[in-house]
Amino acid sequence: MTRLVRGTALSPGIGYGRTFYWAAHVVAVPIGVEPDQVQAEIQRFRQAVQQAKRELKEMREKVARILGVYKAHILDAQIHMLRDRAILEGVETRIRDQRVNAEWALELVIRDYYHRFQAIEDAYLRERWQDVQDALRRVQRALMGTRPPLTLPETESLVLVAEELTPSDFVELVGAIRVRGLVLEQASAASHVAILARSLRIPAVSGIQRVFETVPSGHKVLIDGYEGNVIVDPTPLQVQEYRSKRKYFIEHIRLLQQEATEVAQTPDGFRVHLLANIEFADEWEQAIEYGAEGIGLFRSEYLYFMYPDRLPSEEEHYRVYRDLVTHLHPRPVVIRTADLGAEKLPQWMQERLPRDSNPLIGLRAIRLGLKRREIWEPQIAAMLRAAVHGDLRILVPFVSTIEEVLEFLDMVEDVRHRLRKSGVEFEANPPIGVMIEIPAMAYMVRHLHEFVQFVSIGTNDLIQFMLAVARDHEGLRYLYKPYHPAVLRLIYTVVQDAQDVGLEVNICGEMASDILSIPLLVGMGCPQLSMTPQWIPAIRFFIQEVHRADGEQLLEQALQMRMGTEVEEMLLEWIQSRFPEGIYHPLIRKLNRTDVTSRLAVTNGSGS
Amino acid sequence: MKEAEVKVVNLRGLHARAAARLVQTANQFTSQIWLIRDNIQSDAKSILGVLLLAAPKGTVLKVRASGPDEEEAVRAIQQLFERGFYEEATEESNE
Repeated sequence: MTRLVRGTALSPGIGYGRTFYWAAHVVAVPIGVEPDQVQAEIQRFRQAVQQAKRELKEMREKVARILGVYKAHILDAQIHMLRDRAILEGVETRIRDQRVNAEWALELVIRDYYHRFQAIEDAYLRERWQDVQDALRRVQRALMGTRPPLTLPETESLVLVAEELTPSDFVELVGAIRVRGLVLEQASAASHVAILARSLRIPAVSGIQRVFETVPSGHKVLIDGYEGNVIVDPTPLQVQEYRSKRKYFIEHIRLLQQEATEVAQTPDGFRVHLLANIEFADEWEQAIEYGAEGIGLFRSEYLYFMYPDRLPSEEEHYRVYRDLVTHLHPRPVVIRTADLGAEKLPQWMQERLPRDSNPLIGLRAIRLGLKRREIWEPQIAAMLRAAVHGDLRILVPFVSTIEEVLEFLDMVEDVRHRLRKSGVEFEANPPIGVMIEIPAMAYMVRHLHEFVQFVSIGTNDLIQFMLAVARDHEGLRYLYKPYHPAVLRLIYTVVQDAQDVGLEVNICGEMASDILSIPLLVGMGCPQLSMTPQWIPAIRFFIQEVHRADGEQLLEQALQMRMGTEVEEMLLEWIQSRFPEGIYHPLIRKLNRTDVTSRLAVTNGSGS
Repeated sequence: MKEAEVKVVNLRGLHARAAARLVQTANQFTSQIWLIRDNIQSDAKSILGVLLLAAPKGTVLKVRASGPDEEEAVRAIQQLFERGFYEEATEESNE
């Protein structure tokens, strides 16, 4: 039966294949060793180390070929670990002194280092424990002879399912079988597995509880690494939809090779700035690769999921933001304060907060941020400090009243005060903006210029709340559409009002990358669109073909219409008549009704 | 014995790849080489030891070498730190 499993997007892309369980864990048990066997045990250990080193070296060559020398250094470090005297002597001493088997002696050493690494303050350096563990577990497997043989069908497309996966196992599996996706119980965005998956362009989803129970083995699954979804036993229609979604993205990758330096400007001279929405800080490279003129929305939530039992510290925030703005300099970087709550809340916080009966409109985002100031204050402090290094702007999510804006500014003032006292360098007044995603706030834009410098329209939530329809409800997709004349009217109001009072305005929901909506947004005179980096090339090409005058006319007609379906039909006809031969891009050349419907159906689900 | 101060200038600090390079360099010398951070002293030829120094960007460490090629060893390691373990350059040319 078809089932949707939600996780966290770790690496973008669409994958389809049969699930395959990967359980790498081996368990060592202590066994006594007779005195005359000690030397043989040590010998056995040394041989296992040699074998592990050989495997790593082979793999290193493979990685160097696929990903370049720089990534291969991850494995260099592991090879060095297996040469490390502290490790080797540590194990051998234990075998000798405690007269235990090599497996157990190694296990003791692993545990010892585990504790020492856990004590490291710097999160990134602490994560390097993964590499240590990876190297040592390899020796452990060599010792036990339990290295699972890879006798898998080499031609079948597989989706790996694992509780966790080490970088070297991952590389090994990718080399041996056709890995089309990765479903993990645990893995942070900063982990090497995540970084490798993104480099290899293998879609990955993590954060799925009890993954071996949730995702069955040997079943067909679709994995959507853009939105963090896994569909078990998808229907043929779903497979079709996802295939076409995948085709778009492959096409975009091809497109970006060409003319990534061009700008989005209509033939009659209206310039639209295209920015990137990113989930993880290290996506900045992709954003630039796809030609983003800045980061329009950095969703910072993942930072709050990196630590199993605590909030990220100011320093941890700071390093991420400082690096990001430095890399992007002089382009702008809009960082949204964490939109925690709703479906996004770390486990340990869930346990401490009262249960929300309707979390989507409950204690989330700014409501939580103002009530529990310890959540946002370090983040805001880090943003002010990082703003010294580049064009950093702060965006506040889920605002429904001006009171909240005032209270937020108060909090910023408190942070400034504290920073001033501590004498640390910071930028006191980076631009602050409000997310327009609750319909009520759309009508308050005219007052906002007194308090903030920009607004960003989050169309995903705005549409969801305005039409009172859950955006991920499978059966109600037909209702969740940006073409409803009332939705268009509201967005137009925000764009106009913002510009009237001199606020910068940006659209950062899925609508910003919806081909059919683009003429309308151009018609509204929306100067900034922010989207998933992969969409940027196609949207840029498209804007270069759409006259603003046409957009204005289409908008005027749309606003007179009574039904969203009429608007959709009109836009579709316009595109087809405007480009009867098809244009530069297969995306639009092949556009017909079913494509559009399936496209809308698949894109209208992701978070912002 | 020869000593010098070095500063971690690369972005990620003394992480796995940087530590690997450091150990690789240290191993080219016969002298004993240590890295010292506050009160922790690590063998520069042990990658685990280097990683456990947990030195993020900006940390100042002391390099100490003792042996026949101590001067060259300290100089080589100093240079490695100064150049940020050749990170940025490699990153650009390979990615």
